[in-house]
Amino acid sequence: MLKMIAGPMEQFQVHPVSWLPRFELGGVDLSFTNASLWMMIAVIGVTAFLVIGMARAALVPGRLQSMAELTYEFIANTVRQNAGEEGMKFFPLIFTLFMFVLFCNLFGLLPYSFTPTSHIIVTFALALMVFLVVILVGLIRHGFHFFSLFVPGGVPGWLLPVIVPIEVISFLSRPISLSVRLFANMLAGHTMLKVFAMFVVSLGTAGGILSAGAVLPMLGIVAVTALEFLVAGLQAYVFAVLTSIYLNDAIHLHEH
Amino acid sequence: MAILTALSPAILAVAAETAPHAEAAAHGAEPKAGLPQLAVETFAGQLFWLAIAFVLLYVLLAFVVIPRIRNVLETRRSRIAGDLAAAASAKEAADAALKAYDAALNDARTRGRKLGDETRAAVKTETDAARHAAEEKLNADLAAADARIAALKTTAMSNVRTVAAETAAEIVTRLTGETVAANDAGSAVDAALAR
Repeated sequence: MLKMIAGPMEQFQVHPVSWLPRFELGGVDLSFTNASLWMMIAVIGVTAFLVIGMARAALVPGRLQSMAELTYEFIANTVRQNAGEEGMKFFPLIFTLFMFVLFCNLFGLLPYSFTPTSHIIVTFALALMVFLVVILVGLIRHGFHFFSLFVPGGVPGWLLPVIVPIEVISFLSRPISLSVRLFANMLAGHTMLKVFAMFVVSLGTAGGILSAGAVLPMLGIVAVTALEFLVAGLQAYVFAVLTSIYLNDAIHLHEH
Repeated sequence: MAILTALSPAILAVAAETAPHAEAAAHGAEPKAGLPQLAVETFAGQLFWLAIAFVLLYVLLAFVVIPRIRNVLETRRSRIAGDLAAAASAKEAADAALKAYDAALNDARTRGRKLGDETRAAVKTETDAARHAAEEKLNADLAAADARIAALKTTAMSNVRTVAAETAAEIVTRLTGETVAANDAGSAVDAALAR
């Protein structure tokens, strides 16, 4: 009977939305999928939250306006603290990243929804974009001198052959750690929820004393769902903070 | 437990309902074993729609939402700063007014005291002068009275001598029958008085 129930990974399946025509470009399937749908819902959600919140643009904010402003100031302070006043040039980018990831994560917690950020290709694309922006900003501001980022100050010369490769590797692994952290958190959380749900069904239908035991995974679902709300916000924040820190490296090089 | 047992047919039904869908997804959309995240054929579509969604959101936020929020925050900040500055200047004005009030009060008090002192001094000199004049007049009157008493006393004393001389002469005449010259009687009285 377990076989009849959808597996814990089925929620991550990408499939074209049935009510839209398939779309192909140069032999590549670019159909509008459930993943695309939930990305667009996140875009609409973010925009609606902020636009409706700021619709009155009141001097003394109401509840929704306070939330919109708090979100804005939260990220603005994060960027200012980690990347300085110059880093505020990149505030729109970091704010967009934060809001997009946050809303993808949160909407992913709705039953029957889809979590775009649970796909490594999506998080890796975002992380790679951050990585490229950091390199571009560094090269534009400091030119070839940007590569002195790999030579930490105060290191004796004979250690450099060891230190520099380590620094290069750590720099290159940034987009990987940034993307895997987000993707793995989403994947693990949603899989766990699904596994608990399966326990509830299989125990509940087992009959006898086992049916009563179904209460335990049910409580587990409640707890994990609460935890996942925390993780959804935390991971979006971590993404924004790390982006700020990486940008700070590119802007200020060794001054930090 | 009874409830759960009663519900179990319903749960079974739901499970049976979803099963064909899952199977259709698994078989219909061909080789989907393993992690859906590693289904490479979905990558192009994911990236394509991610780019559209992200750029769309970036444009909306960077050009519509963020300027609006920044504007509101800036307006509020300047309004608060302006109000605080107005309050500070009002307080300053109040402080200045208080200081001016204190100064005026002090000034009036000093002036009042001075005026009082002056008036008191003027009145004192006036009364002193009047008293002096009165005293002088009294002294003069006293002196004049003394002089008159002295004159009267002298006159009286000289009258006494004359009366004594005459009386003495008369007594001598009665006793002895002799007349005494007025001059002799007079010198005898003088001699007696001198004794």
